[in-house]
Amino acid sequence: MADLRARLEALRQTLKEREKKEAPFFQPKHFLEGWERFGEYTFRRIERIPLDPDANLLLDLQDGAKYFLSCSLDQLCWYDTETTGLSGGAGTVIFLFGIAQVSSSGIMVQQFFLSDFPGEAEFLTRLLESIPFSATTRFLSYNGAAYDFPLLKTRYLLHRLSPPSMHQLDLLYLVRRLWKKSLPDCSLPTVERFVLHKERSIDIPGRLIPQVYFQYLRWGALDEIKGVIQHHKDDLLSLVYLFALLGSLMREPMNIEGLDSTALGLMAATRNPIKGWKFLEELAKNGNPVALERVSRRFRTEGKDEEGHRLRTPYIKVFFSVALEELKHLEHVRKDYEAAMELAQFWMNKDLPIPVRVDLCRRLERLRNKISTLKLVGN
Amino acid sequence: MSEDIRTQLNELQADPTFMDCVTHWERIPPREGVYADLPADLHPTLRRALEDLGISRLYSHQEKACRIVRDGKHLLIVTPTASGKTLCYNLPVLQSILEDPGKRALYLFPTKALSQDQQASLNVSILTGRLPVKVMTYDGDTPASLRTVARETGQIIISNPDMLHSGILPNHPKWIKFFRTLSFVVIDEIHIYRGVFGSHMANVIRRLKRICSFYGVSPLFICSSATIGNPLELGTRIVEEQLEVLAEHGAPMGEKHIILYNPPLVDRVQGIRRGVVLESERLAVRFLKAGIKTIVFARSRIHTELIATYIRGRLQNVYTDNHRIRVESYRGGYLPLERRTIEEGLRNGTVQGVVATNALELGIDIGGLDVAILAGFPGSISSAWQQAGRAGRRQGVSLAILVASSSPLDQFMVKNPDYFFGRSPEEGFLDPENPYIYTDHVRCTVFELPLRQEEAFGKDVVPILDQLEELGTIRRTQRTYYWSDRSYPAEGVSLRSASSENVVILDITGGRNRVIGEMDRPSAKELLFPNAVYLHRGLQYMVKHLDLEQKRAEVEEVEVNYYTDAIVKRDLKVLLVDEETEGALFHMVVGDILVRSQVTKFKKIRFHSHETIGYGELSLPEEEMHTRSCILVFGKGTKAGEIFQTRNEEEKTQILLSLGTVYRQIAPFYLLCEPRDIGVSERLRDPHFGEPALYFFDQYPGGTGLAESFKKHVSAIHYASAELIRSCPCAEGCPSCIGPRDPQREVTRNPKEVTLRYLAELDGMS
Repeated sequence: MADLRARLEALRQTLKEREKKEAPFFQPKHFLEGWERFGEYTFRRIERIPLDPDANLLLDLQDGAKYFLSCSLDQLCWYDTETTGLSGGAGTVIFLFGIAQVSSSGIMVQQFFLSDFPGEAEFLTRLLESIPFSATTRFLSYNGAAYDFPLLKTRYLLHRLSPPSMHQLDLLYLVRRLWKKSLPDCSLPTVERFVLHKERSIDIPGRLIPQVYFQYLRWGALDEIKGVIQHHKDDLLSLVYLFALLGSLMREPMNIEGLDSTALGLMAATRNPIKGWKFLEELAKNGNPVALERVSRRFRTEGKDEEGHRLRTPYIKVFFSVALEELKHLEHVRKDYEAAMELAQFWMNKDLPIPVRVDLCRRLERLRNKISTLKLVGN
Repeated sequence: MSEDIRTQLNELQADPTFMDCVTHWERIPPREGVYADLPADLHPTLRRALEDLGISRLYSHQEKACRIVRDGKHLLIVTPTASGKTLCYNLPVLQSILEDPGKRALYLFPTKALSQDQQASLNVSILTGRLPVKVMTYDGDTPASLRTVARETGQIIISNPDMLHSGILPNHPKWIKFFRTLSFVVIDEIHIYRGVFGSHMANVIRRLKRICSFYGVSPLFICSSATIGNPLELGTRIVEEQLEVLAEHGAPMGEKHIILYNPPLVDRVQGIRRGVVLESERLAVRFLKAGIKTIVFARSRIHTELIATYIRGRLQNVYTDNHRIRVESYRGGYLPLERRTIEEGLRNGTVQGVVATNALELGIDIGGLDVAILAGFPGSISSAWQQAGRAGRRQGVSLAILVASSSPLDQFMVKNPDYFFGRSPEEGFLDPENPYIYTDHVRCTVFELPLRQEEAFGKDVVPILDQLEELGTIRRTQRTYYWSDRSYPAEGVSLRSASSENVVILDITGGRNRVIGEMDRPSAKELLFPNAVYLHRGLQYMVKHLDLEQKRAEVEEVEVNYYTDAIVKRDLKVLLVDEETEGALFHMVVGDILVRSQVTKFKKIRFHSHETIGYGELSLPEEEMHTRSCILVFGKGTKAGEIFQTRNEEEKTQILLSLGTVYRQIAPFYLLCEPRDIGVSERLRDPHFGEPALYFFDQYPGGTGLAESFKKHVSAIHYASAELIRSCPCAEGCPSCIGPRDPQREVTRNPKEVTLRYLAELDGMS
């Protein structure tokens, strides 16, 4: 830290000469190959990626649209941003915005690049014109609900433009529910590696991205910015594949290594009830306590008491939650008080929390009364 | 109550031992209130609310304040404590909001504790009057769930400068609703914003105004200040608007006595006076026993705890009713809830006495007290008046006693009552253009909104912007400066001190695991080292373990007869020399230095007698600070150096030590800072310069211009120091001049004589 005052003094001296020289204002005629000028400061690239004819991508995505958003594939729009900072606040700018859309002819990726700060208002206006911000579009993002969208909104407000509204599904929330327990974190690179089993040959770490952009602004360095654009496109494609995986899992829930199958079953049960409940039933049969509880409760409400009874029987002395469901069944449906008494007695000898034991006592008392009443009637 | 005080005053006046120590006794006569009717156009809801509170007329200045604000002028209220200034800004603000519920106001208080207190009092008026005005506190403690509500619906937002700086301004688009309708900014206690804090504050307000103009509003500023020498200048420098000053007030004031008290000399040769701790304790006990509500202001946390402990000890006689008298200590570092309890106790009368640091100097409502004892001059005259103002009610008699310590500043004050009672206390000084502070806020403001080249921000922003552009943190293009860095600049800028890290203090006695307080990291090393005795609300704790990484200290309750004091070893290294000047006396160097300090030992000091009864060894990690320094080199070819060479080793050591001590005490008068803002180090053979050297350095990391300012004023400081030593009545040096003779150093010659002889020869040559 040299004497700041003195250095400022020196700067002041040379200021007059510098005054005329406008600082490096970088307004390239061309950007990178494949990019078109889309305004004074905005560049756009549209890339169409053909579908792999063997893969089920279209089907999976259609199912994803159906089960998660009750819409059709052509309503889906994945989006992602690259920004100049990670902590938010009014000084963080979005310099790269991209969307992906899928149809039978392939995946279409559109990227919009802001070539310098003064063009931000134009850039934002171009987005409004080109992105299908309509009430029917369903946007898909990764952490967009907490980060990208609020930031986008802020940028519009700062330029006194009215921000678009977005109906969005944040895939991060779904990933957290399904993989949180097995993944070290739920960042997109981690999910790519362990869930999508995709390895990027070269990739720029996300935290270095702002620096690359600043270097581009200062010196027009294009090589590294290519890496950022590739990274951004790869992120978008990963989001498409991730959603396809989620769609296929809703269509046909299955056990995958690392996936929390209980969470999957519960998610599928609300999205695709027939398959979802069947999957939960399988889990229940294999002794998953949460599944046992949910499935037997469902059987009860649907009047399938016997099926529930069969499902529970192997586990009534293993899980108390299952036993409780069975106790209700024995007492109120079968009216087999003796069996209920025996099961309740069994659990009374276990180390259960006090309030649970109190409830159990009441149940035992009631059962005893019912048995003696029966005997009286029988006599 | 008044009668009890009168009796005490009479007794004091009749007590020759007491009166011998009194250097001045000032009686300020009572004054009648001057009243005005409630404004005719007062909103009926507000009128009803006031009447519910029993307010049917205003003090003249409150009515005037309303008028000034209603005329659309920025206002500065300069009135003493307890003159009803809160209503001065609440009335016009509430009136405007009632007339137009779309309007919003921002209240800024210098401390967090204060904003809570303020909300409490506002809430009362809202509850009783059912004013439909939504008041929300927005500070570091506000839970995330309430933050959105505050932003969206709060009509009056209560916050502090720190939160405005790091939370609100950088995220202003989230506050769009608030800023679009912001009509008033209230800055309370504006006199607190001096020095480093004030220089930051002025820049924070500049940033606020930029954001406001972006959203198309220009709110009115309403500021309040305690009595200082230049309230208008200070206020104007902070808000940079033309302020209408309201300095006359109409509140009634009770009779007030102010006594300057110099404790008796116990050793005339060494110039040692009775200690300020024991004297204050004796006086406080005297009043408390007579049933008089008393506050003692101590200068440090340790003194606060010591005085409170001693007072409690003295009141513990089970044969009298005195042990029922409740005395609390109060200082920063207590938990908020503890503080609230003590404040509440003072208001409702269950606590009769309190010993506090200047934490209670600010406008926290603790009700009226009768006697204020200032255990040592608090460093500035305006602060002394604030503290003295804590005693005093609208009616009846009150008393404030300043008990002088033996420091040169204290001695000067009690011996120069004219200076103390003169009409102008110190002037608040700040420098928004301090290059370090200014640069920090330029970064923040560009982050918040791109800065157009023709746009102003402070005096001369272009060179700073160019510097930042060279560093690559901002980008200039199309005549506009844009933030181009990934960081969030406000995060790294603290408005108060460099370190925001706090150590948590955990009581682990008998398996307990209870947080009892916190302390900043550098202080923790000096007060919470292993085996230190930590005093907290009168209880003694021994520190068992200090974990600086986890930022926690574990303490256990103990009962011992001593307290501890850390001995700090300091090491300096010159990093960069910026300029060297041949002065009239010394060779002077200004540059960057690295200060490493380490607590290596501690002293055990017996309670009451304050004698050292033992030492302990320590090994704590060093604390490092990069700062600016002015170095006086006693080199060959300089006057000071040539004469210095003729002295023997022992004399050389003594001369450096004496000069360092006095310069440090005198410099604050010239540099408008406090002695603790300056660090001093003497080097008989400085490894960098190869000559004897005296280092003066800024205790604020990075420096705040004190080193440069020291260099500018060095001759004035030198001659004033020489004068002080010559005129001091002591024989061998005392705490009031070159410092007491240190028996441990076994200096054979009289240190004062050695110093004086050196100074005389230096004078003769010049």
